[in-house]
Amino acid sequence: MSDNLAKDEKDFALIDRIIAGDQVACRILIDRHKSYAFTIAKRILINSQEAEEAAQDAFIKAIQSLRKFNRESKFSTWLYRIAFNTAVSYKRKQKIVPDSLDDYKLGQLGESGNAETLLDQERHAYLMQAMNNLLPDDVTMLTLFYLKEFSLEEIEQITGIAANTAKVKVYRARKRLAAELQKILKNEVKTLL
Amino acid sequence: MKHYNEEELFSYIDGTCDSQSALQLERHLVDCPHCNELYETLLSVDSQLQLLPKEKPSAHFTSAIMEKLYVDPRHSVPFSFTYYTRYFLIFGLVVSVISLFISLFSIGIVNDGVLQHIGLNTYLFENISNTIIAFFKTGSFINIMLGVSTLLLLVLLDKAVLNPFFNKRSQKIVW
Repeated sequence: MSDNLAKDEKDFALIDRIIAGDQVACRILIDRHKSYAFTIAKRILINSQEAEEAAQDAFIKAIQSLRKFNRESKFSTWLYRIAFNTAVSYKRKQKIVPDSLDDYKLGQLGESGNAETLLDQERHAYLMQAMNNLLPDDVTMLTLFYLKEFSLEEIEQITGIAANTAKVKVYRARKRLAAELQKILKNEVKTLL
Repeated sequence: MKHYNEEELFSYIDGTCDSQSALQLERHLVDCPHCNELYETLLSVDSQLQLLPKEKPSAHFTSAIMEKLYVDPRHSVPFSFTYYTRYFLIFGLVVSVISLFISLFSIGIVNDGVLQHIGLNTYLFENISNTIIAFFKTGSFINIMLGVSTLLLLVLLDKAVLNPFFNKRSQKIVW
């Protein structure tokens, strides 16, 4: 808890410096949050290139509106809400074909050697394929819930979905994910997973 | 036999159901192959989701944002003086106090063509009033007011006309 508070304080100090025109502080703030913002965008958009554009766009919007940020919530929650909304709006006008499972496998499996790693990566690839077939809301719920950085109340702030509804949505998203996996792998879900 | 649904099973997997319900469910799983199979599947999905990694953006991710923010004028961060307000106030206060002390302890004035240095107790108010009268009589006041007005006019011209005009122009440029 105190770690989180310290993190927030650091974010607020960086924000003050950015408003004063400090570019180094801006770089530090982006580096601190880029991975999570990109993950949210990637899970919604699937395509890496588009996810990167959406995440960058979200950062630009957030940094340009820093003075409007009221500091009542965590900076990360505010930023990820912007990232979520930006990714969803990109999704609506998405034209680029998502990265396919085959591309994923080729890219990810190429360098690994042992069978266990290959099986892990194959499991992950199938999981991602099943997630691709879910609705953006479901994917976001699972992403936010399983990355374990946020409580259901914070998920509510990011997505605008009430905490209780978010909880139910996570249940349903997992149920749909299991169904998708079963569809992809027929009866091999348990053996492969 | 009543079967458990996904929501109840996930609630058990997440550890959010109460201990009595958990105990009942565990007993049921031993006797019910249907629920046990569903539980195993959901548990597998859950353990895979637990391993979901954070994605890493490309190496030039931060640089690309920095470039858009600080090089491309369409995205530039608006500079704010509000952050510096407190420093300006402190600085202004210090300058005023120093000026006040200097003016109180030693004032050099030209009175009837003779430069006089006066201390606090030497005809202070009389000399100050002479100085003020001279200031207005010689036209210095009008010159200073003209200077301030010209400066304000330039600031207004910049803010109201030049700045919006060049911003609009720069947005049309393809980078």
